[in-house]
Amino acid sequence: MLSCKDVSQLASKSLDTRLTWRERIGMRLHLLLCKLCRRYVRNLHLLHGMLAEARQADLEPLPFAVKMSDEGRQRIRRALDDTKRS
Amino acid sequence: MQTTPFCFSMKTMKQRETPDTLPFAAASDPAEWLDRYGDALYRYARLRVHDDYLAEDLVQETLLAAYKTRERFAGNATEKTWLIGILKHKIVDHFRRACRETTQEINDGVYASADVCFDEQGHWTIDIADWSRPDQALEQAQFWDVLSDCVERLPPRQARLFVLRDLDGLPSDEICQVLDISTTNNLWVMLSRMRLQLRNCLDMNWFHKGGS
Repeated sequence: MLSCKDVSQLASKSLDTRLTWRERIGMRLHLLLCKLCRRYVRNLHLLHGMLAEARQADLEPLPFAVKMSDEGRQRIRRALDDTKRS
Repeated sequence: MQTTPFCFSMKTMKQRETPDTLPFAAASDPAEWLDRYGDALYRYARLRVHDDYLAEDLVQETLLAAYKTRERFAGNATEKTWLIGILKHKIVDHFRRACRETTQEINDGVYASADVCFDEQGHWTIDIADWSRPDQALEQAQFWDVLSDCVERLPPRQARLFVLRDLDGLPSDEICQVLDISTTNNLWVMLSRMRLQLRNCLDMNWFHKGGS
């Protein structure tokens, strides 16, 4: 019988690759009996789904208000000027 | 997913910032790239490296590299897409370098903190609550803020893992190579620990607070 720790790892692994049939059956049996693991799997899927949607929609999750500092901008401008001159 | 006031589609920005009629010669000045796309590039980098100064550095490297290879810009992508593409490579290069320097020190932190969630028999020692999906636009915007904070609090190696796999969806063999992970089995274990940590942080700072 798989432990919750095993199942938490399989739940994560199933987001990245196909589980073997043995792993799938073991996980399903455990999930039948374990409420916490069922919730954990749902947590992971919710997060994973939201991230996949954001990626497909090409969203920028940081607000427009996030800007680089004036010093940074000036530093970059100087570096670009140097390159253009050389 | 709904577009929120804080999540802007790059496609919309593209239309606003690069009109199709723009002659390529006029925009091949790197100083102009900085004015037009500097902040967008900065946000892209900042979200992935969690360091203001480093993000600025990566923008600089990107613009310099773009200037040096400007003849290769084919014009079939927008300038912004082209610049983001270069920036992506710079970020991956940074991860690769950083990974060589810090692998040892970070592993310890990672392994200790995920293990306290299970007892010796492998049973949960923490409660797992059901989450409800943030559905309002404002709620989603706040959710991304909390997520970004939580990623920042992860050990650096886990944060990089999150960016490469869960944020940008890189294939696992490429991630193993960039982060110098010897086997895919190790990668699965590391991803699992990272997601557990992230779940716990989100649970505490978002779902638990919002759901109750």
